[in-house]
Amino acid sequence: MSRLHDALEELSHDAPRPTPHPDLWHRGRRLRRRDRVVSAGLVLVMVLLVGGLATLVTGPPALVGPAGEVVPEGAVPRQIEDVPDHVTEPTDADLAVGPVSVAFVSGNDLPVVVGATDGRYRVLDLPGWQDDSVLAVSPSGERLAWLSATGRQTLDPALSVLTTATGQVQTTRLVLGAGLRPSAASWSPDGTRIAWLGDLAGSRGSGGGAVFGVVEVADTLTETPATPSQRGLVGVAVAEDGSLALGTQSGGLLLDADTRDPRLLPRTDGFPGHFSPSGDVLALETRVPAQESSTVQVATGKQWRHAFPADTFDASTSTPVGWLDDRLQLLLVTSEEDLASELVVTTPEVDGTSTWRRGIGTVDPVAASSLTVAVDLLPDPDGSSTQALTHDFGEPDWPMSDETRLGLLVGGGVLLAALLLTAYVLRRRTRRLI
Amino acid sequence: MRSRDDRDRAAFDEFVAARSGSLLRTAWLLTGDHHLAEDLVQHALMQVARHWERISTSPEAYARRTMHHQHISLWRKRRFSDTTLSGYDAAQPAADSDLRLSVTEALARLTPKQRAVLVLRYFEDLTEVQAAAVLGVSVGTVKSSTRQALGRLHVLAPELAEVVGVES
Repeated sequence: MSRLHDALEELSHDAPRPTPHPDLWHRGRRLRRRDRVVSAGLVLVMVLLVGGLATLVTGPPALVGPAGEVVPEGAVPRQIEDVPDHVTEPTDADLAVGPVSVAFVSGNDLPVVVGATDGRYRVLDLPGWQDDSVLAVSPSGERLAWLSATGRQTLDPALSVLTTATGQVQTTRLVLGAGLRPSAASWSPDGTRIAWLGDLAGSRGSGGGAVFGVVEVADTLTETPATPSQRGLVGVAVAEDGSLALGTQSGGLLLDADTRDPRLLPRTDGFPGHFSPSGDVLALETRVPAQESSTVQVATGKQWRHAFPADTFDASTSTPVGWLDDRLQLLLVTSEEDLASELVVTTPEVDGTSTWRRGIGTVDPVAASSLTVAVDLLPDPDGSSTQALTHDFGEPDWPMSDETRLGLLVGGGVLLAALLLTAYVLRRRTRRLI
Repeated sequence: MRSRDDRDRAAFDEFVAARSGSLLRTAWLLTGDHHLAEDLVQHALMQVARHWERISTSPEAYARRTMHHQHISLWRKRRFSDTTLSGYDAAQPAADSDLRLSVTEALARLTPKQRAVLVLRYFEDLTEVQAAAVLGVSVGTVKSSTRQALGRLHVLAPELAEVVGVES
């Protein structure tokens, strides 16, 4: 066989003269640098993937909330969203959540607040919360009240108040509340009183009895005697001096703060919303779609109407949310046609100095049905149309649903396996060559 | 004082100057084509530069392994597009009595894998185990490929019987 070697050796001399490219070294080093970048990227991806998967598998559910900037003085979010359907449990057991800008009841009947400084959504684990409880944030955002019937047959429904800075909860049992079904809770403009309203069992809305009362909020809760009514009552508001407004199908009732003597307001196109800080004006909730908002002058009973400017809203309902000052109120206007809700700032009537400004914020229809807003967080209007009254905290970063989590887990696992296989094959090839 | 990169570059240049001729002869035997042979060597030398830190103690072995892998890889990529060796098992009359021409023509009618096995075993004088390691195949595959290659040489160029031997 040595002759075959000799023949091949002789044949090999027919090979051309070598002319190595002068740039071979630099080309090889460039490939080397590229290899290092790719390897580092691969390692980084694998580390992130493994870390992410570990977090997905073992970590707690992500908190609800946007990863936006912090507004130290607090602000009302420009977009208010409902909680996704898959969020069926509270996300926060710690009730010391700090000031909140917005509170509403989710589509899953859970109490939701939005942080005033960070825009984070929290589903709270409020003691005594029931599916039909009502929720209201104080104008300052420092307190949260909820009215709960602790059971259909129980005799002790309760009104609770959370101090958001400390997480402290005060609760007062409401007498005359047998079979109470919570209907409404409304703060006075200065946040020192809460008026509450409940329907007696089987009589929600008109045609049956109701119970209402006022609770003074300070270091302790002080309940004034609750009052039963044979009428069906719709809507309640309380002024800073303790005056009450109640709505009936035939008109509004004003109750004097001290004597509780009732005074019937002329038939109005709406139900009590919120008193202005001075108590001179009462904003009305209109449930019959119209192209105007309504308020009533308390002293005279005169109703003011503020027609929507042309080309703004079609027939819509208006829900008072609160007052920025004695002149400007915040309204939630909901279009009858598409149920889209929008926050609007307006004056009670149209005159030479009146204001009507839309686009303050948008509200999901579900959240809109129970929305309360800490109106004190809205800045004092400077009269310009460009002033931002709300803040864009960005899209809420909801926790993932189980389905999404499982999908990411499976997908991530497949990707990780593919990366490991690729790394193994590359390593095997390299080792085989070296 | 020279940097590490400068020293590596100098060592690489020295290796290229000393061994590129030998590598090119092997590449020429593998491909039978001047241009392909030069491409094989250039590619192998670039890979040597790429992995110099790890293979600087035996760059030639790495270069040869790279050439053989690249050769087989190119062959696999072209195997379905190139013209096959139609009728290659038919004996061809020697066009020239010169032994070198006979060997050249016979090698040209082998498959790339068979050529690679012959070059490794009878030009580079590797053992079957070493050849199997270079090609990334089993020792049994090297044995069978060697047997097939020698048998085909025997059929294609009977005048090489003395060179090839009778073990096929």
